[in-house]
Amino acid sequence: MISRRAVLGGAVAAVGGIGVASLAAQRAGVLDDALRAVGARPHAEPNPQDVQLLADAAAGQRSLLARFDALDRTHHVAELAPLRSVLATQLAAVADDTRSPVEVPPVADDQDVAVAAFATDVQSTAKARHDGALASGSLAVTQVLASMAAGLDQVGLAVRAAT
Amino acid sequence: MTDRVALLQAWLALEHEAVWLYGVIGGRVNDLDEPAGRSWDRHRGVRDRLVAVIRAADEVPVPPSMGYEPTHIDSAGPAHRAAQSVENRIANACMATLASDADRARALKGLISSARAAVAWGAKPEAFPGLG
Repeated sequence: MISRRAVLGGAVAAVGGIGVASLAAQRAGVLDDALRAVGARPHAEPNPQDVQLLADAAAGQRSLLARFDALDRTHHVAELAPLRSVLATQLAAVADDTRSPVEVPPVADDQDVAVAAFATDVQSTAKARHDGALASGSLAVTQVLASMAAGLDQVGLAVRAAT
Repeated sequence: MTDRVALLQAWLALEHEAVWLYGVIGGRVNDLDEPAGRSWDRHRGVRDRLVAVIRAADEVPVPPSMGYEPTHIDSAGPAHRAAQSVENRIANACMATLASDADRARALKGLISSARAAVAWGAKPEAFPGLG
């Protein structure tokens, strides 16, 4: 079985040995200590497309988490509560900063409509990660995005089941 | 055998197991015959496509095993556990097969399909299916 730790470390290396939220530091030539901790060597020339794909993944996860929290504040659905940790784990894997505020659209008053809208958000985010996995130039980034797509697809199924 | 074919053969071996498993579930657990039938159809399709791809690479596809574990599947609980197990192992095999550029789209589709199936068979969603 392929180790999650190894793949995530490889993805970090593929984009230059940095967390996605530390692009400015990367441009200044600063290496992330976490990379050294997993024993990965910095990639000499990070693939800009892969950097962008992981940055997009981080932005997508932030948006989903913000939408999840907005949904939860308006209509607490107990069955959905465990899914937050899945989304947060995915975000932590691709972002240094997991707390950036994100503006979200208003949540529908009707609970079923609101949950269905969130399920659609999850599925479209899964599709974006799927497409990113096919576009990536690095195997490690491909594997991270593919696994995220599969995990999001599972979350989407679970959300749909709650409607 | 090339690395590519070895990855495909490992995946195919699990598809053989899935076809066997869903046949057993459908035949022995009445309440699960419909979902087992759908899963059986899906895995037969994947199996047949993998056989064709391996043959196209001038290799001999691995055959099914003579038997698989567990052999005592006579109720919903063991059936769900066995289904989740085989789907998770297929997801792992698909994750490895992503290393083959020629098979990347196929492996990604297989990974997502098996992740979905694992949840449909009662698994909880996880952040990184296919990665240990």
